[in-house]
Amino acid sequence: MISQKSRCLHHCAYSAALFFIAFLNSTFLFAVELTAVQSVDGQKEQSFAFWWKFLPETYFLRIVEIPSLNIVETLLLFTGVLLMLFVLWLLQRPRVKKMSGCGFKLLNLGEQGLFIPLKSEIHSLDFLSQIKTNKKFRLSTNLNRVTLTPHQSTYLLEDKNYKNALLINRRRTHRTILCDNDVLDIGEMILLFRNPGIPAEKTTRTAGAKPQFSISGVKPRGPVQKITPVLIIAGTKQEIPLVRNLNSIGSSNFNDIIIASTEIASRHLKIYKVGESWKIQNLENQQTTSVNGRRIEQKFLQNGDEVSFGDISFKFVTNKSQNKKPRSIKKETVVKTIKT
Amino acid sequence: MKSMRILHSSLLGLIGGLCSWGFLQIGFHVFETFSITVLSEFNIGQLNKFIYEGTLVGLGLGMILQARVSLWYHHDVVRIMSKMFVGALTGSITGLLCFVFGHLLQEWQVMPAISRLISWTLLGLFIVGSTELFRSSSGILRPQIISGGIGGAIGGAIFELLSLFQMTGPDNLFGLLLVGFSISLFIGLNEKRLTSFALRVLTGRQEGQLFFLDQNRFTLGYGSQNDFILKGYEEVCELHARIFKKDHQVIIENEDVGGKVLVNYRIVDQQSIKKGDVIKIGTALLQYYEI
Repeated sequence: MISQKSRCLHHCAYSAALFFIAFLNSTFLFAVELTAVQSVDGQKEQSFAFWWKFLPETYFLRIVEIPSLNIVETLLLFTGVLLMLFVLWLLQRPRVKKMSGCGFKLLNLGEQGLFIPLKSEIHSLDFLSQIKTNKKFRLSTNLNRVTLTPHQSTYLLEDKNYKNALLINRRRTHRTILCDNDVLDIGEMILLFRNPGIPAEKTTRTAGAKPQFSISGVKPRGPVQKITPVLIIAGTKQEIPLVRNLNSIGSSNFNDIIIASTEIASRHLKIYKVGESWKIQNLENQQTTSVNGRRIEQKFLQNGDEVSFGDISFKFVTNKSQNKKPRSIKKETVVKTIKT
Repeated sequence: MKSMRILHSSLLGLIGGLCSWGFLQIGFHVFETFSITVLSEFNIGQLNKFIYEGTLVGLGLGMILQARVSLWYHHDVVRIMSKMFVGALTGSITGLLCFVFGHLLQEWQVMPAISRLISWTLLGLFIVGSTELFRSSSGILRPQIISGGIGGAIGGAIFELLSLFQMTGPDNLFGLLLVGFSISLFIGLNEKRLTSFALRVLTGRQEGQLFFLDQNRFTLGYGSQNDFILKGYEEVCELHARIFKKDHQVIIENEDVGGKVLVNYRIVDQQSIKKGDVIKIGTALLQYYEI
């Protein structure tokens, strides 16, 4: 039984081997025949024989043997490709939404630039707490004391509660005319004021800056020294020199600089000399003083600092050079050090 | 928005594949006409084998992938056309070299499928590499090139599988489409991985546009050589500011003495920026986001 099986397997193996040899022979003979034909026909192709070495008969990708499209169809295909590219390009075009009137645009991420139109009457910012947003934002509690009053095609914003965390263009302000593209931070909410009718450069913030009350300082005896710092009142060209080493500012007559305003405490702040520098200190717990938009209790003043308190703001200017060197000079010094 | 970018990138990959296929179709006719009229003795069929196929595949893919960023940021047509021209040139050279190398591998008894796979991988690597090379001042980003290579390898594998199961469509159309799709999909996925910050334009002509900070450094200005082009704004210089990443911080630097850069309405020379910061460049207002 076993011998019969093994004999059978032997026969199978032999027949398979014979079949393989026969197949190889036929292919070989066919190949030889082909070569012979090619050698006869290919006499004239001898000049390109060198190139044939690099360009063998085997297709590498086998992408195009017989093309499916004719030239016209291919050109139509390219027109389609260009059209698709144009559509994709056009879809990426920034879409500017046209707004009919003034309003706030919500800038917080995930709010899809929600636009909040404003009424053309006096109203408070309390309505912001009722706006439906994707995320609940923490807002100031006394927004009913922040009013928006229509003023010459724009709005006058007044904050009657100084404890509100209200920033306009990232600076604490209590009273200002809103210009197009002003950024308002009200608690966690970031708003962009849009006034498409009047561009920012055509709006002046005079109502917020020009004080409606008298400001009087200590009159200097004789000429003022060049190094004496001055306070330049915003909205006016009035300069008040700090002739004393300690200058108190407030609404009462006992101060060195008297500002007749109900928004300012009787003794609001003092500016005094410490060595070669000047320091500012808030004196009233109920009222605030801000330097460069940040609320302070006391702070050393630098040249050009903007001080605001009540409904007034001024610039602290000293002739003493305390500024950083300009950028161009910095670069030059770097170059010099490299050279050395 | 990041998903939209991946979709945009993938679509462009498909268009790139289609473009390659179109070039192969028209290429055959052009070479055939050329062989009949100019080189009647030269058997164009030989040239048809691997060289021009690789060149034309690289031409189509390179042309579209080079213009990918410009199309996303809606740059002007001249810039897009010039990018496409550069892409076509570099892509065709890349394609030629990659497929000649693949053919040489085949000559050196490497399995045809393996050699083709290597060719596709190299094509993905070099096409994305050339894109990075010509991408303004952002510099070359290695992960991006590697992702291009991975995309090329996977695309090549799909191409081989389609050939194996004879599902290639007319003249390997599906294979080419999927190679383009794969390369651009992997670039898109890598960009998504790298993008965690963005600048959103708040005002003016480009209002609402998002600039993704997916590279290590960028330039801002009105000049067309910049990565982020601010057009239609006043007081913006040609090369106004530079944004770069350093020690896990994103820093903005003023590049032009004549122009000002304001961060939260304060003039700065160099300043690290944080989530929610408002940047003012000329009359353009931008907001910095972490996304």
